[in-house]
Amino acid sequence: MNRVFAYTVNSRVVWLSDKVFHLPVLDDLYRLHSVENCQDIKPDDCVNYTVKYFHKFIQDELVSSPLREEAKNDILIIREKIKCFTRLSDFIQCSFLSSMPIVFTEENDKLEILSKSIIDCTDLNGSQMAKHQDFINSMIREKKDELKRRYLHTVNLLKKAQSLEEVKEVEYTLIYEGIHVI
Amino acid sequence: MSSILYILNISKDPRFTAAANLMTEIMTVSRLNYKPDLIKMKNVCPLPAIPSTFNTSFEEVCILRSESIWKEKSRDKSINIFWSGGIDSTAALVGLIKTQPSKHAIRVYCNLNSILENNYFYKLILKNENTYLYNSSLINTPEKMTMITGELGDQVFGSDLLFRISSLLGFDNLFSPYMDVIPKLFASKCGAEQSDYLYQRYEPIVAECPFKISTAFDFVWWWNFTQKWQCVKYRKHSLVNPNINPIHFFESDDFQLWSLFNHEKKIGTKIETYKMPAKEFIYSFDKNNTYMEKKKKYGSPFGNKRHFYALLEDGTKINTWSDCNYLIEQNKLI
Repeated sequence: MNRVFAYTVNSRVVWLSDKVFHLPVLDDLYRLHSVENCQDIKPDDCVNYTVKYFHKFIQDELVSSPLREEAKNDILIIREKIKCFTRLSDFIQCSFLSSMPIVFTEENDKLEILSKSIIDCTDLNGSQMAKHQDFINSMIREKKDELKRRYLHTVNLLKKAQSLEEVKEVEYTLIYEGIHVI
Repeated sequence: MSSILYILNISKDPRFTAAANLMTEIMTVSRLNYKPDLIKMKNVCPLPAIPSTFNTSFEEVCILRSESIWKEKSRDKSINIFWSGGIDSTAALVGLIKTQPSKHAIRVYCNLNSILENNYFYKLILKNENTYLYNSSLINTPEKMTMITGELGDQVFGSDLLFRISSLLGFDNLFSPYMDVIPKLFASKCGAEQSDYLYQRYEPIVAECPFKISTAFDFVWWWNFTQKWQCVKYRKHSLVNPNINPIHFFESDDFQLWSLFNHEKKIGTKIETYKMPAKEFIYSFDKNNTYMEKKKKYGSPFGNKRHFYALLEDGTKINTWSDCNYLIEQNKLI
């Protein structure tokens, strides 16, 4: 299955896969939520709407739909956000939609296997073996929890970011520090 | 490369960028009378007074230091230590285990990397009574906590730059005249133009060494020992949980004097004999021939993270390279 990215900025819905599209469905959205203008629509509503009705959209029409002038800066921000999300996907394979469960990559499983196989336990007695297993298991559990927390924290920072500068700040952190848990 | 681009992006001064590349983002603070510092900073780590002789062996220094740490922590009846699996932190841990009073606990903070780097010793920790394991990667303590580290071991023994010289120009060049090798080393890290400027700036430090600096190894050790000590001493303050109070195992006058009086013992005849006195001390406890004969230094405990610490003369603390923008704007570079 191809991954698709949906994201909102300032309550405007933009559909993203390998290209950036303007989504011309705001009227429907207004009616659905009985609102007068886009500022009254919650970003999550936009994403949910987009996902729910995606199969009804004709992509060719989306491509040909011209971008409004005021949306161009948003698009720049979104492009940067997508770069960040793509970097994040190096750490955790997941849907970028908050309603989807986070799926850890094989890397963690490999670490688990590695950590359990590098120690020759044949000369350890029962309590030493228990000490070893407790430590390894607690490390892996803590690592997964922390990785999830850092991932969600980063997603949250990106969601909240309203300017290129804010997005760049997140990007620097991802590039130079990552969200790795050693 | 990406790191270089980042620094270029935040710092417009080419000397600063060159220094950042050269020193792997550590800022030097001179402990000598001669001050080549790029930023005027206070020296809070003066060199110890140098006696006419110093006959204490490395092993004796380790034991004395360990006993002194236990004495200092006698009320807690426990000690916390960061153990990376590398030579410095393993030597520190051996010292503490060898002098561990009965019913006193050692809490070893390590992670999967530590186990990968020295799984033989990890098993000894498992077997040692009153020694407990904790995850070093995710310390989140709301309370003050003292932690022993292996920091400053590199400054006592030499410098990670010797590995660069060895890979760039060959191991034998570590014993070539420093004036032939160091400019090439600097150029490899920050380009020819700036390397010349930085070499001229730092070269005069050799005049204050109690013995003659002749070789490239002599120079990189003396440079590390006198210029990077302070930054390394304080860098954990700015990186790890601020509630952690580090005690660096190698931060003692005796270790510094051992370093000054035993220069020839630090590197030996090949890369694998670098830090051999520390390896022999570890061997006296673990009897692991492989580690003693083959172990090499792997790298900074912080991986690709930036580390920086500077204390300005007015007391201002500078913890990141981006903080330096302020200094550049204020024209405070010297």
